[in-house]
Amino acid sequence: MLFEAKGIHKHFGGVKVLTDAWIQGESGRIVGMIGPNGAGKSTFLAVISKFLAPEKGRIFFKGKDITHARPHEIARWEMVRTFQVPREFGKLSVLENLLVAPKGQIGEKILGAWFRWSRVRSQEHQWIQKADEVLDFLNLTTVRDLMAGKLSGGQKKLLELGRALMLDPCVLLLDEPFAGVNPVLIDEIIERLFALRDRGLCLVVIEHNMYTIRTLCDELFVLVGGKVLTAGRPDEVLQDPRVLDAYLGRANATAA
Amino acid sequence: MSAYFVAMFILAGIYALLALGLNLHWGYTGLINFGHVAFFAIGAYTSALTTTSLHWPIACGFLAAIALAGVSAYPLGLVSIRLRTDYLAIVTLGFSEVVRAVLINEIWLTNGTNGISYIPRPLKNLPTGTSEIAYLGLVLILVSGTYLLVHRLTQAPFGRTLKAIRENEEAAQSLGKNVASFKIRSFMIGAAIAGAAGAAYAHYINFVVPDQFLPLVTFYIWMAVIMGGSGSNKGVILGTVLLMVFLEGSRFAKDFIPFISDVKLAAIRFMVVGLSMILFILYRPQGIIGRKDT
Amino acid sequence: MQILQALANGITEGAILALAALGITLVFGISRFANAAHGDYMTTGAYGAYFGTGFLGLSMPMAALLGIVTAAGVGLLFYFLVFKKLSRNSSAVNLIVSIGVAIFIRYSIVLFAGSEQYSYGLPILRAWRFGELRIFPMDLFFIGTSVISIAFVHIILRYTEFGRKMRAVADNSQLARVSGIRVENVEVIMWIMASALAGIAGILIGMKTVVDPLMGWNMLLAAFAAAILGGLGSPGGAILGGLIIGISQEMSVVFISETYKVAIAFIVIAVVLLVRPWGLLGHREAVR
Repeated sequence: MLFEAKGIHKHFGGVKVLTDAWIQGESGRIVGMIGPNGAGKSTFLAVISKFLAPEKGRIFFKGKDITHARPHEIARWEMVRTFQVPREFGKLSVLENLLVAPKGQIGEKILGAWFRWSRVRSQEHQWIQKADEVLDFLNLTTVRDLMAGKLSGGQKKLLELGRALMLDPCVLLLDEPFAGVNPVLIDEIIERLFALRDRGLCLVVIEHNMYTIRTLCDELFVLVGGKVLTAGRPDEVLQDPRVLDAYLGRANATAA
Repeated sequence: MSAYFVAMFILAGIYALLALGLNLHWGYTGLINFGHVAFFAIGAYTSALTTTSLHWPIACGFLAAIALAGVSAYPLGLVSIRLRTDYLAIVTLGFSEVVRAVLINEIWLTNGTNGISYIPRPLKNLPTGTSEIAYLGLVLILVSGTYLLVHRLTQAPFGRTLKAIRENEEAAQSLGKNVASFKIRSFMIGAAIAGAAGAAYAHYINFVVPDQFLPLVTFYIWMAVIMGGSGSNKGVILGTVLLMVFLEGSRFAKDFIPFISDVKLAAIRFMVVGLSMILFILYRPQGIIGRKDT
Repeated sequence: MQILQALANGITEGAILALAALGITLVFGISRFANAAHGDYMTTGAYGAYFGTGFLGLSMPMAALLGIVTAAGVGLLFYFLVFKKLSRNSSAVNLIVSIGVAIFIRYSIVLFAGSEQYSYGLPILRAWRFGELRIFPMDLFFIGTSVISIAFVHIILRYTEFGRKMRAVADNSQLARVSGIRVENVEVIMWIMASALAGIAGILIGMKTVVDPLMGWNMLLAAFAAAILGGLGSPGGAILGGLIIGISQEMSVVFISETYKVAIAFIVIAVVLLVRPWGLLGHREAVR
């Protein structure tokens, strides 16, 4: 088990957002997290990536208990998260956005910048090469030097993905990667995600879109009201009457 | 006449140092520091005290000023991690006022409102005139050296990550950047530079009193940074030059408006400072040098 | 006994601070930024009133009215000229520009009125003595004025239609706009109220001590401390914060030097913002 979380409880004020939530992921798998709005999916992702602390529960990564780690430490351990609303560094170029990401940059230390400039330059050279590869993989090479703030919504999503990839993660947590993306781009992104899966990454994807869920995911976790309703292969889960009820039942209730 | 220009350039150099430090805080890291004058004061008083009461050589006084000013920024750096930008502004303003209160009150240390006099001037044994020019030379070396160091830092990944933090702190964090460490380092270096400026000031003017370190000085530097273009080191140096031209140039206005009292002339000068800040932020927030999108 | 005297002085100071803090908190709640020019709006009010007494020969009440109107006018002026244009910018940018506004106002006053101190020339009433305790009749007037002004604002906020709209905008301006509230109108009225309150506070200070160009700016840090302590955006908090800061500052003078009064404000600001940024009575979610 590459990573797993179990028994996660989280509340805000008096409201219980997550109750005994759990999830697991293996390398080379795409895991989908689905559920009606407000079920707690984004919160769960935030807890797993340590942006929020759970009241109860444990999180394990590569066998290590990371329940008490801080967000920036997680990234060093190769679990990276993207956001629902893209958070690009607006006034930096696309390339610079990617270059911010890598770890272990000597140029980020003051003494490194002053006294080991040639080493800094050669590291930069390496990172630029890698960034160009990532840009190529994502088909963003044309906007390489454009300011990130000027990209379209879909491009910003790709950029987020690219930034995460610069870190060579083993686990990618993607929060609605297709939201606001031009339908034309969706299949392209799915292709990329498959390619990443085949390289051995584990991807956890929050999604609403049935098409992408069916096409993309190897397994599904269904979150309803903060609890894991069921988990399994997409074709099984999506036939489960409880799941249909959770989606359609709610929809019917609001329609009435 | 030329002695006047030498003096002007020396002051310009000192202000340029302050602006470079503030630019690191605001232009690069997005920290609003309304207490910058505190580091100026700490540097000035440290160098003054060590070279007078302790009879240290001037160079050591300088180093002590830089070190102490830098270190004093550490608690503020810690605070900046947890506070929103505008709250940080208020806290830093309060900090500089407390520092000023200490300077006024702790007479045993700072001689209170009488200040510290007879601060030694380096190279004072040269004939008058040359000594001033020599000091200008020292200041120019100080400014260029600092500029190069800061430039290198901002060209390096250090500067890039600072900008990323300014743009979107959470995203930087999710990429594994230790945002706290970057903010603290940025704060301390900017403060250390201000400390150097303070030492340069103390050894030039040869006396320091608390009244030289009012919040207005901080806001002069803010004006220089806004006018020149925050985020650009060259820009803030340009902004400082403009500030000096304006501050000093307005003294000559007296020749054209003879009836106006000194107080009122000074008032007009400050009014224009305030007005420029307003106009620049409204109509050219990127400053003179900055790009439209900056 | 010194402590009791400090308490008495502190309540008066606190009442005036509460007025100042209330203005600050109104601006923060509705326009969502910390207005560093607020102190200088106070100074404007004081000078407006002085113009009334010193040059127009008005009685104090009429002069005070003039001062309040002047302050409100200046506040409105800079809203339309500056802050309204920056309403889509961050609170940080608004704070920075408000420093420019503050400096501009302060030195315009020096240009027109010089930098000397002035006084309203009010008759000096002798203090009432209770043993060693001295209570100045004017202090009761100051407290009373403050109470009445604050009560007035409270009634508007809580019991009028318009006050309901103001609270809606403070809570969630987008939602308010969508439900039909003209946010711009609310802002205009808010600025009038906040600047008028500043004017009143300035005049009270002028009556209590002297009128000089830095009077408002000198009080700004303490006023911010009061507003932050009480909870930015909470009028009740401004009052509570004002009293606490006023009393603490006066008490501190008993134990440490007068010059360190400012340290009280600073410590309060730093501690509250770090530990409990929504203050005593503010809303948790409104922050950070």
